[in-house]
Amino acid sequence: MNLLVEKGKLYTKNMVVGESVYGERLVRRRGAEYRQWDPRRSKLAAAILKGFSVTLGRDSTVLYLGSASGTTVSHVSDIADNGKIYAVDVAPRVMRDLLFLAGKRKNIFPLLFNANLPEEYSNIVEGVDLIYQDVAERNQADILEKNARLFLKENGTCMIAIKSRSINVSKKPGVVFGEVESQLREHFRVLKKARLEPFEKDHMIFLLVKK
Amino acid sequence: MLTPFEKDGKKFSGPEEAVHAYLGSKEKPVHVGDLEAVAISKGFVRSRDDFVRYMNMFSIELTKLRIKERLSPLTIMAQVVSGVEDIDTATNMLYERLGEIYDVYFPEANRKMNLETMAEMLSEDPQRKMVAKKMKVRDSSMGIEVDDAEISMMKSYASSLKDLLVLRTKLVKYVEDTMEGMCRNLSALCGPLLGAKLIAIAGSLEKLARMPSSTVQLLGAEKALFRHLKTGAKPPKHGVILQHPLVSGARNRGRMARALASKIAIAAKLDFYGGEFIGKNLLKELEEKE
Ligand SMILES: C[S@@+](CC[C@H](N)C(=O)[O-])C[C@H]1O[C@@H](n2cnc3c(N)ncnc32)[C@H](O)[C@@H]1O
Repeated sequence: MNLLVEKGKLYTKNMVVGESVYGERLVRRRGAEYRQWDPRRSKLAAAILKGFSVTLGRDSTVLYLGSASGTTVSHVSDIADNGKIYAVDVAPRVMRDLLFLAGKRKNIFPLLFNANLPEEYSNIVEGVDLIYQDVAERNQADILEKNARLFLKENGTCMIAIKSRSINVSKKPGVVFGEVESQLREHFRVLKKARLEPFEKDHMIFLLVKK
Repeated sequence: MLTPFEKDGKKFSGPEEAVHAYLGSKEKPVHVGDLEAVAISKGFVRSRDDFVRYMNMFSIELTKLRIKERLSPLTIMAQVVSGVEDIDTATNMLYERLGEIYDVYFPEANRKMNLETMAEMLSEDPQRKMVAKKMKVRDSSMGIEVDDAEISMMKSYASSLKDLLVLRTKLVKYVEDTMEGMCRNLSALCGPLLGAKLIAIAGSLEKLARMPSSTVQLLGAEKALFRHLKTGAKPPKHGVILQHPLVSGARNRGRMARALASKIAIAAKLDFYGGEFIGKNLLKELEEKE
């Protein structure tokens, strides 16, 4: 396993030895180099520390929606070192950073596409074991459903991070999360859910499987 | 069928050829399912390692080209517009500080200097005799006497301020020329700087061209809109388009803002899709509204 939990801290085994991706600390453990994984910078790390099981193995195929510049993607790439990560984002600005990252990590496939239009990349992305979504869009549940319908394998899982403010600023986070959850439940079974405090304010993450 | 490995059964020589087929292709992508298994079974790649290396190269190349398609000199211009605002902030701070400094030495002249004259005068020679003559004030002052060290420091301060003002003029000229060349309709309707600001806030000309005019109307008022949604404060009626003289001078600003926003939506579409030049007519129609 390329993931290490030690005294409440997370580390992933560095695929590109000697290089830190976003300024995170490099440490030596078990005769190898590991990168510290900061739960305040990565919601996936926060979720794991909140007790989510890691549905991600060394051979996993992942569709990552909203990769941004690749902070979290880099750790997913460490964990699924023999896997494949289809990393989608719409913003050219952040994609440029992701290109540099993918140049060094061959299991990352950067794709500049809109996650709202999965048909546009349906002949590039294949069936996946995990869809991880963090896109800060209003119709997040809908985006996940469209992508899961096309790409999620029968026994695959989804994780979706929701920021209440990007859906509706005038409603209380709890209300927004409730609404999103009922939308999600139309198509998915909820295995686990949690708020991400104290690592992130007003965020919630869900672990889902197809109904 | 088009995949990163083949088109209609014909194998690509490598990721580069595949990428070009993708960019030129108008055909609707078909979902392939297990791409790796297909690629191996058809003999396009030999192993998973092979597949991973190929897909990594393919997606990197494809993404590089897709990014390039989205960039243009307008992307640079949008940054330059923000650069002009940075300079305004910086020069105002420098002006205030230099004013505090000069006020100790020659308050009678200081009082009469705006940003431009201060940069101009003090970068030449800050001494009373010179400044008094040019500003037409008496050189007997209630300020204190200072040494060469202070004079030379004030002079350097003012030169830097002047340099920034020169840079500002050049940046504004660059924005004007770029807008004139690439966004003639917007430029004629809003003036080049406001037009460029709208593009900067929207993110790109393409995004501006796709926006409904109700959104255009509020571009730049995101904070107020946010406050309205969150606390129920009064909703904003206009964003940066308030800077348009027809809006700021209107009796009914809300109504004019709405009218201008709908013209901007038209102008942006024409500029983005390469349409005719009717910017001046759009402006005239607005003027007649008032
Ligand atoms: C909060 S950031 C993701 C941070 C990232 N998951 C991490 O932990 O490092 C949200 C990203 O979603 C992207 N995004 C927003 N809407 C999108 C869409 N419709 N399709 C793809 N990406 C989108 C944004 O460009 C942004 O980079």
